[in-house]
Amino acid sequence: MSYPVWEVPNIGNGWIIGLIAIFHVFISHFAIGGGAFLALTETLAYKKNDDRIYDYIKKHSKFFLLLTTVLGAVSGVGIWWAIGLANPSGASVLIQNFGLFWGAEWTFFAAELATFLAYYYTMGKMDKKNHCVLAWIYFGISFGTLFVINGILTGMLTNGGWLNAQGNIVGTVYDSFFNPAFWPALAIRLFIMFALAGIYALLTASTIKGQDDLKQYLLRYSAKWMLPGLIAGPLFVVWYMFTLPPATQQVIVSGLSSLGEGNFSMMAKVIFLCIVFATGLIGMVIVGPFLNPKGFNTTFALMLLASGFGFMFTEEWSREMMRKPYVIYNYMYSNGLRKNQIAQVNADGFFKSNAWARAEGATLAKEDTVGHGKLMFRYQCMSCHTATGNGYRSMARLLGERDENAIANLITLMKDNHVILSEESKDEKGNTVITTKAKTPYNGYMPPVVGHQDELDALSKYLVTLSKKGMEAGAEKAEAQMATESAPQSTTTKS
Amino acid sequence: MDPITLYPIGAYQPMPFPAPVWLMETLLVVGFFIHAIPMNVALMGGITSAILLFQGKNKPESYQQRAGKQIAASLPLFTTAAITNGIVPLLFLQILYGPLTYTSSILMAVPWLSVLFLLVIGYYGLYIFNYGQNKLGEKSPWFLLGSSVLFMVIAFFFSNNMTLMLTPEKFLPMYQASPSGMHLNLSEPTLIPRFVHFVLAAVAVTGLAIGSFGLYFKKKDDGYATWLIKTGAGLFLGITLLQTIVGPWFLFTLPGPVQQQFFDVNGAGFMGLNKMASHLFRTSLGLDVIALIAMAIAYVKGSSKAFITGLVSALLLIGAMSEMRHLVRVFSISNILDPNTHAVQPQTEILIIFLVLFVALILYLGWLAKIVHKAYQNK
Repeated sequence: MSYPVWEVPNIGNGWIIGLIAIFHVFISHFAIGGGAFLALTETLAYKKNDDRIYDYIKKHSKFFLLLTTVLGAVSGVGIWWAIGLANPSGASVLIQNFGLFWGAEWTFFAAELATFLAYYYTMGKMDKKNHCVLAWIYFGISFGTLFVINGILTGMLTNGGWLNAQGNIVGTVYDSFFNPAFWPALAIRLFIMFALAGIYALLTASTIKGQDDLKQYLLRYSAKWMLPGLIAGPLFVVWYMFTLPPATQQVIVSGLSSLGEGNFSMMAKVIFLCIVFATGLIGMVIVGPFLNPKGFNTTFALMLLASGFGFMFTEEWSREMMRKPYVIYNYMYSNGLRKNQIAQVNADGFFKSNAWARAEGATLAKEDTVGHGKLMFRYQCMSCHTATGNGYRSMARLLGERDENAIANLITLMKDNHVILSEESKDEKGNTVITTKAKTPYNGYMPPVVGHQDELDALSKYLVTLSKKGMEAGAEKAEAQMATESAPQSTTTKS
Repeated sequence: MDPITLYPIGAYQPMPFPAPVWLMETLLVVGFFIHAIPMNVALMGGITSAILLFQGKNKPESYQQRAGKQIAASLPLFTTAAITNGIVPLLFLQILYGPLTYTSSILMAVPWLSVLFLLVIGYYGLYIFNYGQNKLGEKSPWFLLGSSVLFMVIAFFFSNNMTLMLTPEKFLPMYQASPSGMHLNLSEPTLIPRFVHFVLAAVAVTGLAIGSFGLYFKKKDDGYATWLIKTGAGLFLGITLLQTIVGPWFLFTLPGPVQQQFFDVNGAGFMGLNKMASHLFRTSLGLDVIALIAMAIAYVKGSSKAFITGLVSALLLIGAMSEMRHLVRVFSISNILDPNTHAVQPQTEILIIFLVLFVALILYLGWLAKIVHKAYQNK
């Protein structure tokens, strides 16, 4: 609510965060799971006293170095960069509230990178036993990075006793950090990390040449890294689901239960795809490197890697969608509006409440309703919608054939997006039962539109210009104007 | 007129700061210091090592070739340290000055985001040299040079953002001209002198790194070590002498009221309005003189002791300059945004954990350096 909106044509600025984040997660999970892989595999090489496994670890570590310390580290910083650009209000809450947690995260991160570099550059130069210990230290420290980020990330969705129902802060930062989803999410991420470590290892093992027995041994060994997730993963996913806010659970359940009717909600589609990728991946690993390591090659390994990416993409995407319409659940909406601000903004007016809208609005003529509406759209809607064309959630496409009245009704409806109606009734035994129901169908999907009535009217007026009818009217108006300007003029003089 | 319509800057979130402002300011400056050292070497080490490699092109056994390769081999480590340590100052900058720095970043979102891509390409350029120099042959130093150029572009974007955040009066007109994040702060009078001053400093710090390599090799190969010390000291000396022109250029482009805090022609003994800033400024000049004399001796004689004296003075000087850089920011925006006015409620437990982890990290890195050193000694 206090920052200008970075306008990114076609995809919107949210996807900038999304793309960098998914890319980062796919590498960073490898950096942690891969640490466990290096430690266990080096222990194996040490116990077996097998130099061939050591040679493989050396090659795998180089790949690990080039991928995690460069792309992994930079893309991690990149998420932070992108959040600050696309959602500065959300970023500033995370930074102000969790500033010292980020500081702690940095100490782990710095130690993690230093340890890996020490590990990599002392390979073959240090006593084997001590080098193995270094690998375990690396894994321990990298787990520390996961521990801290997991508390911050899960706290964005299931923030426990940090907030009351009205979105006011009533708890401490520790309530938000050690929130209900902390432990199941930590376990799930760890399983995913082990699985990814196995998938990346399948890729490097697939390139071994001239040592078929070693290659097959390592392929089967790497495939087994899927096992923890396969066995215990579903249990923790169920536990995680039970920790989610009831409204989110309902959105998931209703979305998935309507799959049979072909009525896919977006979230259902993504979760469904995620399940398809996960099961497909497990199936391919069992049939491929685990049961038939002889026939396994690099192309197959790359396919597994692509499926792994598909899984991570959909998993992270669905996790993001579960938070909608909030950026920090029950506290701040994705457009930077805080839940506990709604009444105040409705009373004071949006332009008075938002520094940038106010400053921009002051440069417009008072009667420029469409201009003011455009500013309402920019500061309340553009975090999720593009305006024209076929862009991401483009308003031109979503409004379609709606006319001015329909748009005004829609805006009026959306003003109450946050309102939950409760109804008292008596059950058969005479007990009072309270049932709650969202006032609008957009609850759980979109933030409320806020502001004075004239500001909402201005938004409607602007949206009309984006709709098909508005565009046609605009085009006709422009044509008429051009015709007038280009029409031959004649002057008659009467005497 | 409503000030918000003139300076539409963001506001802090309505939640208290997690630690006292003085502590976070200290961490911001300390964080910048531990970022600046490796960042400077990463920034200009590529060009320096490429020049050394070009100089020793047909002499594979020459000191230039040897030093060029050794510096280049260390650059990925310096880059890693620069990125990692850069998190600390940026974190505390965002907590303390978020309302300004988020906005300036959004105005130049495209170049700001491109920093990531430039960094990745430059970083891989360093690895391409290190892993591919045998295959690439004489062309390989160009990768080092290319990485340095990309890193300089990053430095330029940083200079743009760090100056833009101090001039909120530009925010609204810039945003209204285009909301797509394509701006730079090219009209800023301090931009070019600031950039030139900082980039030249990076060459001088690379000189410190080269001389420090000399200290490391002192017992193993005295001739080579002396050459490294002389080369490093010479580089520092030459560049720092050049800074006697660029430094005042930067100082005199700063807004008058900011300058006056450090240095006032009307003050008694040119004393500035702010005591701490003035003393810091004078101390810096003193350290500069000591560093120059010590480095001149090291350059002529190749003396380790003189180099160490120069190195310590130079590091203290960088520390003092890091604080002055912070003070320039504080003085520039004190009437617009003052973090001291925001509520503080220390999160004591995590603050203690963070400080313990910070100390543990330093001890751990020391231990790690020791075992790595031992491993290389044994082989």
